[in-house]
Amino acid sequence: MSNTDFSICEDCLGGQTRLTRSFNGAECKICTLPFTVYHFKANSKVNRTLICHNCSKQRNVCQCCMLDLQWHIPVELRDRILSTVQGSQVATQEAQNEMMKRFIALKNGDTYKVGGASVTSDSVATADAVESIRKTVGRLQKSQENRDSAKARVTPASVSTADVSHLTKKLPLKGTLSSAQSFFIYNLDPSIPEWAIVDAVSELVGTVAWQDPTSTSVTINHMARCGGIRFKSVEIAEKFRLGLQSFVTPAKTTKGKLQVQNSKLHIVAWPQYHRAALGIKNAECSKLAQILDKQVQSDLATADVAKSAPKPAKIRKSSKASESKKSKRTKRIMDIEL
Amino acid sequence: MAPESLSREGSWKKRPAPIQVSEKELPSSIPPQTGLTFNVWYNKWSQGNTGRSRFVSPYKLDTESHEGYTRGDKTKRAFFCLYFTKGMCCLGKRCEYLHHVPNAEDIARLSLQSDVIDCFGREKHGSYREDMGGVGSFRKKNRTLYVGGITGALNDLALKAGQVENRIRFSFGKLGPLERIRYVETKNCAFVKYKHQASAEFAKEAMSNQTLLIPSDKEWSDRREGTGLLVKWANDDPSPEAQRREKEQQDQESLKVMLDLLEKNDAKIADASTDNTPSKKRLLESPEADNNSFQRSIFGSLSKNNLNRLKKLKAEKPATDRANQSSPASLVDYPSSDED
Repeated sequence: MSNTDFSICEDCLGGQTRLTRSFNGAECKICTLPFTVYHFKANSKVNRTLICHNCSKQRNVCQCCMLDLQWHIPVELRDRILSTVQGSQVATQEAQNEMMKRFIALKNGDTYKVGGASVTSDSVATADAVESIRKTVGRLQKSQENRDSAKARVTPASVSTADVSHLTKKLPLKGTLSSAQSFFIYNLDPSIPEWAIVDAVSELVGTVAWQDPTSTSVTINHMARCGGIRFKSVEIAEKFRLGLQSFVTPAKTTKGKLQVQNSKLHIVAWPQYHRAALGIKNAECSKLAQILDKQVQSDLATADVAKSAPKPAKIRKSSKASESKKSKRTKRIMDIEL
Repeated sequence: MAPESLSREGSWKKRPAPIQVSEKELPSSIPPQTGLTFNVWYNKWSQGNTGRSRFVSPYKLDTESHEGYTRGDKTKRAFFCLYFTKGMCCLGKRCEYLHHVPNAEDIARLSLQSDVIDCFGREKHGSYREDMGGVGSFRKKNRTLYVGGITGALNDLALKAGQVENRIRFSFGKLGPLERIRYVETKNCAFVKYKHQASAEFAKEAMSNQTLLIPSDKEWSDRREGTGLLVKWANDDPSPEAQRREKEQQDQESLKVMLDLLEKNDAKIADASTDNTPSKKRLLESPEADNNSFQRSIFGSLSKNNLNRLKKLKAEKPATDRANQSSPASLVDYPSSDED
């Protein structure tokens, strides 16, 4: 095998032409065999090759950064892209067993390619792949948009019969957006990360120092699709409250709206900020999510009122009916347990 | 994101990093005796294992008071001080590594680095350790930490689930922007997901072997008697909803990358059409690539750098290159095919 060759991408090499070679200098991180290591100084730091040249050829990756030599993306991502483009599963399977790792290392990297390397190591196939990416991108974008619009309608799937009255007692379900130092958030899509909410709030109040450094200021329970935020001072909280968009529900209560990513959070004041009220157990959380979802439906009914008055009422009635049914069922279960 | 980084920087950028532990007070590198003989190679006690093998770390990173600028900030170093993270750097502002919690600017700088090195500059491994501890793997971008050993970290103090989650959220939330936290009461463990991988790496080192007790607990004075948190890398969340979310994120990411690729490709083609020399290179490349599949694959696997270097020797190149490449290849083929 050619011991004196290497494949290092331009980014890692940084135009460096002087490399130090040490034969059998280290263990390859993929095949565990000794290989010829190259050290070099680029971008004011010392780099070294981590995998052997054969392994890098098999996967068509740089020996230093392990990104694809052609596209400069991680192997996993490259395979994912190629599998969406080609419609077949492309994956770089890695051996778990040491013997198997060494066995694969015996295969010549010039002819034996793993996963998507067969495409990106070949200039013709790469050009073809780029063309098919061009074709699929438009389709993917469209489907993504569809999904984004569909996301808003996701409802909690599982039906749980847990009794959450002890939680709902503490939650401001009938609350309004009034002055307070802490607020309750619901209509929260589970895919929204906490940092997005924190960023949105920081932007609204114009400072990042709204969190109290001595206690938790943001608590989000993604399972229950709700959360709470607490401000350091009343002034900042007031600024936050005034900055929110507000709307009036059919029950004549005012609630706040905060746009985070592509969903709108509903916000009401929650003076008794309490973590335990957000639920811990899975069953509790999903039940709470259901109740909050109903709440959101009734909040949003205003928009429908103008169009068709009886409709929201019907929804509410049916939801009430189902709730009473559920409470009966929970009672029955409790009886059995007793 | 931007204002957050600015204001946080403001607080530590003005002051030099304090010395967390003076050099004299540093503990010996030999861990407390738990066996009969000390194995120098593994830095562990062996034989007659009695007593605990895990201890609560006597030092803890205090994000407010320990942050500050160091020599590393002047030299624009991208890596963080591992000892600072554990709360026991004895160099203070003389440290060559960064002494602050990773912020947006650092994340951007680290993302320019390759994935094979973590935020402390340590090389990652091919696969995870069996116990999911350690530096981690370069194969997977893992932003989720498993937090175990909560009972030990609380010295068996009975707390409500909400309180435990609150304490975890408080101590992990200070180390970077969180994405989600999930405390599983039945298993008494928690999963903490960060926005960035570097934050997860940082938090993993900062919170390992730390106590969850707070000074107002009456067990606070006995906190060293516990065993401390066990922070490890998490496996993928098996719940269908989490999987769906993960897949959605991956789809979005790959779509973005695909658009990038197309853009880059178009730029390259535009370059080729405007500039003279690259178009020559292309001409040179394609006939060779078409020669046969074997020759083609060799070419693809060569680095761009090597290719460019070879291309400089335009005239003699095709002949010498072919000779170079074919002889070692046939040598490799020989033992595996003929001996069987």
